[in-house]
Amino acid sequence: MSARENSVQKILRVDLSSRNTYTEVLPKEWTAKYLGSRGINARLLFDEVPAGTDPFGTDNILYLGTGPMDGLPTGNGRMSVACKGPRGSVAEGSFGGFFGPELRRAGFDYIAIRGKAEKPVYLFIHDGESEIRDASHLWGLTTDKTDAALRRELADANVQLRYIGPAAENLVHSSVIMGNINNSGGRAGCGEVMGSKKLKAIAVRGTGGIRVADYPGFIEAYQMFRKRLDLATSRDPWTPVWSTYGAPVLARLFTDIGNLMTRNAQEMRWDEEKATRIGSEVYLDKYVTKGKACFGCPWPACQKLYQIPSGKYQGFKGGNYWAGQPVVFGSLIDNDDLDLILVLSGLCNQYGLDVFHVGYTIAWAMECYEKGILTREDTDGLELTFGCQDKDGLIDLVRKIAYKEGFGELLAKGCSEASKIIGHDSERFCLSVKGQELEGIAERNLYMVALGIAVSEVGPDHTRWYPPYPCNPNLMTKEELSSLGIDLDLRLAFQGRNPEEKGKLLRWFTISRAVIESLPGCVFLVRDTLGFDKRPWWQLFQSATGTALEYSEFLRAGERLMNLDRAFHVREGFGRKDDRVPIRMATEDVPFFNYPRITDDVFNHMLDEYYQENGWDLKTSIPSQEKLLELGLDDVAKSLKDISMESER
Amino acid sequence: MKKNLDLQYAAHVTTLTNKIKESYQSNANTMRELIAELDRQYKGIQQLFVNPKTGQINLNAMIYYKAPNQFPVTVINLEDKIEDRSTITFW
Repeated sequence: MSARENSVQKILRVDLSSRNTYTEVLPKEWTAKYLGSRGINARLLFDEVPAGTDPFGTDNILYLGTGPMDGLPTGNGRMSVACKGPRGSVAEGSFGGFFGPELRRAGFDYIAIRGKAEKPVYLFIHDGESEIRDASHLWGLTTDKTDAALRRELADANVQLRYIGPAAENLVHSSVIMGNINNSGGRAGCGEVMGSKKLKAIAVRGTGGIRVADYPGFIEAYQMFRKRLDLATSRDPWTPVWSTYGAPVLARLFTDIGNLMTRNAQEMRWDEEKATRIGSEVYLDKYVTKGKACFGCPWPACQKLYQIPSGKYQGFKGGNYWAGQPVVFGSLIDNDDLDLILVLSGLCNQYGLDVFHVGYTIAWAMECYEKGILTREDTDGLELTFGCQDKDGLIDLVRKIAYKEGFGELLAKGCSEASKIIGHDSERFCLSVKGQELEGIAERNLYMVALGIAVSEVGPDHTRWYPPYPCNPNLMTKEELSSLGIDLDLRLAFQGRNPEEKGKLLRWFTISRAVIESLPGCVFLVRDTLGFDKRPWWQLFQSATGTALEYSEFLRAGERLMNLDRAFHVREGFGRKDDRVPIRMATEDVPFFNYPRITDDVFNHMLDEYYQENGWDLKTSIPSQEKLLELGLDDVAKSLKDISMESER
Repeated sequence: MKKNLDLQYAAHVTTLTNKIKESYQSNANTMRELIAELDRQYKGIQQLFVNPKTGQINLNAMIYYKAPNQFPVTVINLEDKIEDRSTITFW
């Protein structure tokens, strides 16, 4: 295939029920209005999946979207996957790797999959063609075996794959889509939806290229972008940390500042020795065998592949030990055995399970066990205690969750549903929002994080903004912020235990991240200035697509996406009542450092500020007509006009 | 009088110190003095944490400071005083 123009975005439409596929060109103006990837996925989802659609029905559509920066040498192997999630709202996530660039090389930017196959199938896309193929022989295989089997079958080492594991086939809560064995995406249930469609995998191979619109302009913008990654000048303390050591370094740092959720967040500080044993420094020293980067990434490979060097689990291989695993399989269940953490994480990847669902639900079950709500009779004889004495039992429990066997069937539902079944007030220590388990970042001392997790339409997802770990308020001067059109007092915004400016800060971070994920781009490459200054990305986008856009309009695309997500959300009946923190965070103080609970007053203050800044109704969170019209979302304004949040779900 | 400090080093900083923590006795009164003192032992720490142009803490480096029985804070001003029995994390 020859190189194609970057200004045209094409979508491959697939109906698994009728086994039809066809191609459409998306409206050209969408590139300026929604940029691509997550932005265009949100537009398509709002337009094509009406309110009340059954998430597991034939009318739900699974979108995989690249964007105009995908396949260019700016670390853009990322792509967005979206659908209506099993919990009723938007399910969206992104993953890295090589699939996105390969899809574009094959001549497509988006895939929209509706319907349901009669029997398991996989989709093979190659140089402008697509085929729906039988996947009966793949159904039931773990993700690593699926990867190997498909590579053998297609006999092409360069084919790129996305697939689900047994968990998604069995419609286990929050199952993810996997790729490259260790890359996961769409934890809000995109894997479950893919499983419900009996779509085991998508394989793609392309030999075309992408032609940037303005090559000299792109090179100039690229140099500006690379400067932001320079360790000597970057305004981001995470740049040197992330690039080499990765996010598990947080375990030690967070326990130092009382920010590490321990024993199901009953405590916020773990033993320092334990935190050290599972930290990046040990991981890098003893386990890492190879670094692996996504397509075109200018950073040192942030994904580290590992192999357990000795002991009972010697030889176990996996990858992607990052920020979540040290929490969910470490401090949260009081386990300082890094071998066990890596086995549990690796198994989640093989089964296609979401590590957060599994970790938080097991931690919830451990607390139930500790309090006598669950007994050995309930747990199939497993001594389910914090500290994880029965390691093999825990490993087997992960398998049981994936296959919904025995006690695993209860945990496969996630702690939100499971706590309703078990009762005894156990919802109190289920750490979830909108039916989705938390991630690794604590909330009671990082107010903006609490707010961000509460309002996210997809459920807790820190990747929808930038987590402002205790930050240096001198990061940007007031004048610099002002020149970028940002009205924010960073001193107040970064101040702990103070709700002021948190709504404004979150709004800005959400817009900023929405822009990046629509290009798409990798968050680790835009952390300089915490994403406040996006001008290098703006220049890259303009030169890559030939789309002239004011800087303010570039940012407005992010705001548009944010409002589309909220519009979908409220159209499904969600609203202010659903934007909340887990019960524990709102009702229990933390003894260490005297962290208080997040009181209603504090939370509502932040929530009001956030809604107000967004132009959303304070009672219902419905975007105002004025705001939607201002964003050029006239059709969305019209469709939301009659929605009354009086009709509570 | 010398101060007894608990120093912690994370990630790339450990490549300079070759250790992840230590009990340390210091004559420094301020964070700036402590960094200068540490630089004599671990060459490069000053360059990593102090911006040579502004003399302020580098915006790509962080220091958490926890005075005894106090809440840990991010160090912004290098002239901040250091107390005996403090815990300081460099990353």
